[in-house]
Amino acid sequence: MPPLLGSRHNRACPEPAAAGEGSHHNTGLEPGESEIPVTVSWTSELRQAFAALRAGAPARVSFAARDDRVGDVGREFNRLADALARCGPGGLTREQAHSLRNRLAGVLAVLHVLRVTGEVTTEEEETLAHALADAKELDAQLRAG
Amino acid sequence: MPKPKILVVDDEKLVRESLQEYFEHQGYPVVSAENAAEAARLMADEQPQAVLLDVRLPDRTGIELLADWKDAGVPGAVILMTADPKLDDVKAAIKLGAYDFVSKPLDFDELSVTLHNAFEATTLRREVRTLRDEVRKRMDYHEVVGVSAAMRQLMDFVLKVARSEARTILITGESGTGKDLVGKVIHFESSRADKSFVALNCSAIPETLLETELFGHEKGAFTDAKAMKQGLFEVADQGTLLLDEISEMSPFLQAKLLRVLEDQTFRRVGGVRDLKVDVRVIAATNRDLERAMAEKHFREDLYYRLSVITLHLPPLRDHKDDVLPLAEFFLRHYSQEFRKPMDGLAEELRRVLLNYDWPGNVRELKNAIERAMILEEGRVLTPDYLPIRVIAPASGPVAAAAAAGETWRTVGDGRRIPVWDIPAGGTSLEQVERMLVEQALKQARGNQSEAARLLDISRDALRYKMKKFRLEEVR
Repeated sequence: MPPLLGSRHNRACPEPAAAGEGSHHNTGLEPGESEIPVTVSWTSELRQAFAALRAGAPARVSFAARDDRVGDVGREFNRLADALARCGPGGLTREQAHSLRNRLAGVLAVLHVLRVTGEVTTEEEETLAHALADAKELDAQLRAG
Repeated sequence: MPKPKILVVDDEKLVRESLQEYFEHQGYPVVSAENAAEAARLMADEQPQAVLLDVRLPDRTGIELLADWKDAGVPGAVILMTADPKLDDVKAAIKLGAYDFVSKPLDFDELSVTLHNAFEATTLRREVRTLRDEVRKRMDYHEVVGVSAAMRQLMDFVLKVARSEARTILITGESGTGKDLVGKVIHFESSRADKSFVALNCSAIPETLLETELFGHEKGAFTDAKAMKQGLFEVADQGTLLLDEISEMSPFLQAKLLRVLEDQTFRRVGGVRDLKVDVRVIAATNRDLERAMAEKHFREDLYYRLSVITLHLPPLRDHKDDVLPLAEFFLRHYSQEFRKPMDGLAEELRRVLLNYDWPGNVRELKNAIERAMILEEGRVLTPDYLPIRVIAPASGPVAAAAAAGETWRTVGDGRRIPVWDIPAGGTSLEQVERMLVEQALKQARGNQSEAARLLDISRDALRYKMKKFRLEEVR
């Protein structure tokens, strides 16, 4: 399992994001972070973003701008990524871990609903399964602090 | 059947709304709350059968809310959810009766299975409670044991003992006096009423089986022990174990029983680990244990352990003022059970019942009334169908008639019954009845109406008896 917090927090802990997604506009990307091609589906984007978080890299998703349940997933994911980025090096406090896992719980809760309500295509479903696996790994890392 | 209602309590909007949508999609009616105050209101208004309850809420903790619900006796399964599982919270939740404790992020599929199991468990619990209430209602023990002043006094003492902390109780009394019933009363009137009541007759099974029955065995403890088996002491943990005919227990098992009574610990057969249980043991016997002790058949230390609280049930002949109230009670009971409306007991029946000594005690009286109820055609129970030994006890009027050389005696409305002495080796009531039916059919040359008239029963009753005795072909 890659060291989530050690590598990511070699850089300075970012300031808390402004309310909502306003500071990231439609792309939801921080300046200087890698651009994700617009043709990539939201599930692929989410999968890559989870993989990045797991590896301790910063990540944001652009579909946070959507005005639907997929957008809910994106916004909650970006809040999670922001919160992770704000955490200092040297491991998480119990309170931080609790707060981060609650955010992750929100992301995964909406994903579960999207899957059962048939709002995910078969192709997206496959990618989503990988994203969920990454999310579980991320949760295990958060639990370990 | 409609699906049970779920209450979702979580301050995280996405989690709350997703859970609501997910379970609504599965067909459950769902209500949700974002704080404890709202949850308490919904619990009262909506009475959900299950609650998905977040541990950390803005106004109170889920554990506090659960404690309130437990105090109020709110039914339904509560599953606690948390992103920060702490052992203390888990312990507190389980102690307060939570069904499960799940960790966030939630796996909705797993949660769905947990919820399904929770509903099944709550349904089963409710059914068990209903059945227990039913058993309690059906016992009507105040009437079954007796209503005389002496028996009421005894029952008051029984209730006092039931509500005490006594771990061992000894019930003595002749066979049929209701020792098992008093054992049940003690259980159902105690704080253990919601736990198991297990009864075992120690004379009914061989010693080796009795040991494994009581204490269980480990897998491989003996040739046939293919799997571990729990003993009745484990099954009755926190409840009551009634050991009937305790005097029939072997000295070896008496010693083992004494250890459980003293330490509340035992080992399964073939086991090496001590198991701790909390069981109230009620021992019952119709034997004189002091005598058995003097004859070295019963351990002295076990006797003194068991006899700390002793309840003696007197034989029915010593409280005859209970005979008629008991007979009336059984009449009502069987009238209901057989769906046969009855107006009461005939005067002559009352006299017969009071004239008999009832060596088989309340059980014999109960069986006699049941038999008479089955056979009686009228709405008033007469002595006609009581067992012969009750109608004609050795010192009764029939015996007196026989002694005077009479072979027939006139009863009730002028009909006559034969005066018989029952041989010392006994007779068969069924065969006597069969013989009478056969004789009546022969005498009536197969005319069923005439045969029924001879026996003073209805044609339907005659046909029933012909079928029962396979006499359809008799002409």
